[in-house]
Amino acid sequence: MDVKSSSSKRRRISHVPKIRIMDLPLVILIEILSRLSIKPIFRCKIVCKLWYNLLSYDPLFVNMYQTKSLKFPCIYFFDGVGNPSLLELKAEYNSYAHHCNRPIQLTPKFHYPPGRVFLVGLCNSPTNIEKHSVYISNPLLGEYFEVKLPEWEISDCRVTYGFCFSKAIRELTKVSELEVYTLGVGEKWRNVGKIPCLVCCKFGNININGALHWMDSEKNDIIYSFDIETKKVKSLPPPPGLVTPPWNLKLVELGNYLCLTDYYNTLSNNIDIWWMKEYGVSESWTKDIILVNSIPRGMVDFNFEPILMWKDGEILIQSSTKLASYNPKMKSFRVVYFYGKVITAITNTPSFYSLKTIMGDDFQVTNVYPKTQIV
Amino acid sequence: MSSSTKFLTLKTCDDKKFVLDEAIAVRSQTIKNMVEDDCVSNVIPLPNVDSKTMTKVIEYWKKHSEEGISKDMLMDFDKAFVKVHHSILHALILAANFLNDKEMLDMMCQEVVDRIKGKTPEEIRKEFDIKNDFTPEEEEEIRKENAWAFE
Repeated sequence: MDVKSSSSKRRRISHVPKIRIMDLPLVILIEILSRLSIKPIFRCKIVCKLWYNLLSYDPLFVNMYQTKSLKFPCIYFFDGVGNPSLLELKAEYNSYAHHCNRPIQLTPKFHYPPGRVFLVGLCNSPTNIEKHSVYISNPLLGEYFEVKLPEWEISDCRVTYGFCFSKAIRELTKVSELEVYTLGVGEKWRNVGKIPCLVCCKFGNININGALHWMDSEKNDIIYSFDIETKKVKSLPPPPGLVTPPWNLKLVELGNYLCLTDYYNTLSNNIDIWWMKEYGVSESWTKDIILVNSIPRGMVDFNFEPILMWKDGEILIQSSTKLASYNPKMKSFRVVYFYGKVITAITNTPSFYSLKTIMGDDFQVTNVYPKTQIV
Repeated sequence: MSSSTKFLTLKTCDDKKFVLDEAIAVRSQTIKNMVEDDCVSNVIPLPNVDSKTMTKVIEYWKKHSEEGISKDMLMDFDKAFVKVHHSILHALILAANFLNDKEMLDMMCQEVVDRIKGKTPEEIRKEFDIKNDFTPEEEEEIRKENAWAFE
């Protein structure tokens, strides 16, 4: 095109001006960056100051990333030698049949609090228990907060922790033998009553409607819930006609439904997944049957645990150090390949939300690394 | 909408005119709103889009409106469609954003994501023509803090 014609008032330059990535509107740039997986995000911080600031502090980035990671959360798991690792389940995980999914090793180089780490409950941030310390941490930001424990707890080894994050009141609560600690409110544990039964170790993961759930460890006919707002323990009806003893039943949360897996004698029988379709309604329990011969070889095991619902209703299942995705409509499995072995796994929504927004300014949130100041 | 084909005339910022089937043009939410609000006289001005970019957009719209086209064929088309120089890709993103075509914007953004993801910071700077405005000390410090991301 003739360049001269572009100088006329009403016409713009007729050839395409070179548009750089930095010329895109910020909201689009953030949209693009928030789609990256964790490692590339941290690498992009080093590209330039604008990107560093967007990826470190921009609330829009934090929100956009959150929206995406809610759909495709991560799996935290312990590998064969006890190292916690993080496996990202991103949208592009369509390629999960490839042997190339490398989990991120979290300790010790990752942003973790010091000491041996044991993951308890995960909402937006993992809780780590290390012998006598309880940390609430956001490993993506390298932030952690040490929860002060009551005196008696130091010697008592029969303590169980639950972790509940209630969105409505933005309150983070930990439960221990029905003592409650609210993050960002005070430094004291408050006793809120007696527990009706012995709670077995897996307590903190089943988090529905702002309540923690657990199963009676001796009887299979009662499910308990602890509502974090009302601080009340209630009982819920289990599915009718269960014959399996409670140690072969497992409560899970799948897609915000309370579910129960019945894996009595998995080696030869089908596995039942019960769904409480309407919360609190006994008649709403419905059963999905996983046929034992549809389970991939090497995954038939007593340790058969649904972890999360993703990809339009597929259920990610961990069994015998492997992961597989189960499609209830097709009644079929696909093995999720990755490097490493899973011993125990839980879901986590990776987040760039700072602990400081939950804790408030009155509490000391520690950084694993001193924060670099970039102006 | 009537069954007879209606045509719209779109005018880009460099004064080029494109006559397009209305049923195809309303893939753009922006144009659709204008049509629904009845504020379309003769020509719809697109002050933020140049003719070269618009030609690509229309190519995309037409392909995605073809009857009986298979999913695989569309996927092959999309794959080839995004294989353009950065500046054209970015121009298409701006156009898709202005025309408010979420599907197209989404695909274009994903292509940029794919171009970023496997690269080192140096490669990203070079590829996208971004100036490194850190001091060597600052860069070193951020690198140290995020050393695990480079393993």
